[in-house]
Amino acid sequence: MSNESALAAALAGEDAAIYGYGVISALLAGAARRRALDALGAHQSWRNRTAALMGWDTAPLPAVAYDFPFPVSDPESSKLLAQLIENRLVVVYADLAATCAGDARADAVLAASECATRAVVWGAPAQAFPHDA
Amino acid sequence: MPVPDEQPPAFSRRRLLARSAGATCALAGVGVLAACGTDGPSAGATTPAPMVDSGSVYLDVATSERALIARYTETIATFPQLATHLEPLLRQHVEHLAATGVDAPNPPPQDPPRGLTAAITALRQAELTAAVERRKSCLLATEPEFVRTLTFIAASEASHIAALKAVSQGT
Repeated sequence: MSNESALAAALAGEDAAIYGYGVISALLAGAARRRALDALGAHQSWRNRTAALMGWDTAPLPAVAYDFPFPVSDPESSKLLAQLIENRLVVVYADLAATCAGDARADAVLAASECATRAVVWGAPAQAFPHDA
Repeated sequence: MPVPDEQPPAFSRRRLLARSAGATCALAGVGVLAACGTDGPSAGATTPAPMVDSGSVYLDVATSERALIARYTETIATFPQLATHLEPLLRQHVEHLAATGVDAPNPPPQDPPRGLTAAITALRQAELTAAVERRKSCLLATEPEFVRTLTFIAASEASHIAALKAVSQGT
């Protein structure tokens, strides 16, 4: 995988995560909603960092809407979606880390670590090689 | 998930958003959320491939994993009531060690802290140290597939910190 395609996958993944967390946070309340909004902010920040690496002029815009692999209609299913998004992003960032060096790689590894952590906080089991099981 | 166009009412916001996209299904997110009309993204092969990196990175990671394995083993032996929570994490470190393709000697035995809460805290600290070390290992490695594997290991160990927090809250 080239660095360009890995960056594009990270950008697309973050855009999907931002969309997903919009839905997730709407379906949660209290501390869980705050946690979803924190995650949303983190993904927006990583999205911007990725877009900056790609070059703002060439970074594709997000889609208008994204499909979910299962119905997301209540707190339980929204937490499952959050787990899925985070675990899939770990794979995206591991792919990205393998295509770059230095600060860019350090960022990708940090992003993967944050995503894996959030997946577990949302209730996913910890994994030796985190991915969407 | 197909947007339920065939189901009449239930005019949810999501349905509205999907419709405003001018499509019968929502749009693509490569790798994370599925594109319309696809079977969804594959999670990607996460089984580590054999590695050919040079230098001492393998041995450093193996040494660190051996230390974590020893620490978990000692903690489980001292607090068997934690076994159900800790054994999955222990097994993951065994997988991490195997992924390095090398082995390292066992560290000298070390008694875990006496109290259960202190023992979990010590494990969390060890995982935190390991996660930071692994992020550094990622920068030292040169072989892309090893970098990828180390990224998974770093992420796994970071997530163990959260898993152990849940254990300490549940005990």
